[in-house]
Amino acid sequence: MRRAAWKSAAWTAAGASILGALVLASLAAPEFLSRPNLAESALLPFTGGPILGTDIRGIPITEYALQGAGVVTMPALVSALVVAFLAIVAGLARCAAISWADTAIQLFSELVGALPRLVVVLVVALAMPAEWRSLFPIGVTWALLAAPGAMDEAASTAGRLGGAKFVEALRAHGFTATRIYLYHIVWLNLRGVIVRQSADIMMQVVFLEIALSYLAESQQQPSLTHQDSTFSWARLLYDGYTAIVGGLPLFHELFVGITLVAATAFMAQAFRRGAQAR
Amino acid sequence: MSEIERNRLRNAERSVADLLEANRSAPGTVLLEMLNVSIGTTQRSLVSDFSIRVREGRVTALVGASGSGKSLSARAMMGVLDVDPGLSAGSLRYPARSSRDWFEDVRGRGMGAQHTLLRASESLRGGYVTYSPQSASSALNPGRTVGRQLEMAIRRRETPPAEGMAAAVAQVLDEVGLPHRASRALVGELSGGQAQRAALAIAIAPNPAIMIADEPETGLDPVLRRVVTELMINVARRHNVGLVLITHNKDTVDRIADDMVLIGEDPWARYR
Repeated sequence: MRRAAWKSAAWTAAGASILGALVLASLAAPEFLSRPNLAESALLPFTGGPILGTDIRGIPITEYALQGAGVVTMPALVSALVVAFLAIVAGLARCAAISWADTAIQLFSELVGALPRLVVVLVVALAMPAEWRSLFPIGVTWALLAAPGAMDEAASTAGRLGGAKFVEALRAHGFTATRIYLYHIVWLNLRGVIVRQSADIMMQVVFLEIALSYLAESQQQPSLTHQDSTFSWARLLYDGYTAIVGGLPLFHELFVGITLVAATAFMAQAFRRGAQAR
Repeated sequence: MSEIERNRLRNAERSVADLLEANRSAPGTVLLEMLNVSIGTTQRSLVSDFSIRVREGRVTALVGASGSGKSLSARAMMGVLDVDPGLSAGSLRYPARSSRDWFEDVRGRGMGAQHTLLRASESLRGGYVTYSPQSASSALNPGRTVGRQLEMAIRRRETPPAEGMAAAVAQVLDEVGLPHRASRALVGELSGGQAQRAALAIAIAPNPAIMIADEPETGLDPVLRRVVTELMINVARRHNVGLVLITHNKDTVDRIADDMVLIGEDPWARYR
């Protein structure tokens, strides 16, 4: 295998490993946190008691990390899939030279692109009844609002291939329609754009959740993205930061929170690099 | 004197009528015969009563003005029709393979029948008949190396290469004058002339009986244009391929065509 291919495979494997770990963590997330044990295990460091230590109430940090993964992973994945799907549709419409589809996509892009993304997301979040609070509608809304950029890029990449002429040439080589559209166009040529855009959206949805939950934590309000019984990674960041400001030794809580945020950013970057290298 | 030079001198003495007649009566196995074909939309006729025969080892120039339906006819020769309602008359046969009329169930039956033909004729395209489109960049997939694309084309041969895939790829690259390292290159890393050679390599790699080259000179400078057409003709003659060359260029027709087929009006009539 050539060096560039190794590089691409290594980056993709790194991204996929983190994604895999996130999915496993979300599946392993406890429905409720352990009962606080102030007397025995409050403020244990990394090496004492449960792995990664405990918080000020004696609850293992791992439980927060797992619950946080449970809050963000599936909605972020679904949002990424929404963007990937729309980018594929836009790319294929350009190659198939379906003029009405191209017009409809352009109209959708112009309408959605004109909406203020954060305001719409907040409206959706506030419009959800309290018992349905989840990151899913917020993530999907974010993905829909961000999709025009991905669709534009996919369509222009498909256009640079030669659009309908490229399909025609492949037909003349005797390839079936399925092989032309799914393999030659989507897999070989649009994959980079789709992976990069989807990875970006995934990261953005995670960061959006952390930001909204952090705001809720700091205002002592219920979160817009998850039920009150669960906690997001924002809890680790908020607890860690406020404890340090208050002079409590909770560096490990902040460290775990920052590590999780950094891992998410690294995952997106790894997928981007993997898709870029040939 | 090279064969191309002999051809040029011979054609200089022949009239357009001679070249047209040659397509009707020349010797040699007929590989493709498309007769009296008419194709149109609901608004207008795109190709009317068009006929062509492609013979083994001969170069047939398909000549016509812009918009006369040359590319559409070339696609029809491969069973690719996507015009509504499309084919109203005519027949398509590959006599060297069978006497089947591929247009039999398509005439006057609209898009559905054309799609059925497209699927039925998939096995012919890229094997028995190959196509090199106007722009080399359209013929080549920018997401794959030239070598991988050549491997895909070689796999369409009726008999797999005895010498192994790597050797077969190297052999095809040698034939079109590309260095072996080109097999590792992406299309974007090739120059215009190299891309044209790579497109030709992909067209000849399956060992086709018929090769259709749609204006292979488009976008090339005069020197490269000559190099590419002469390379194409040499390769086609070496493999005894029936070559259909779509062109506007009178000089190219004079130099390399054995036969000529006009579509629509004679584009050079006003210059005579």
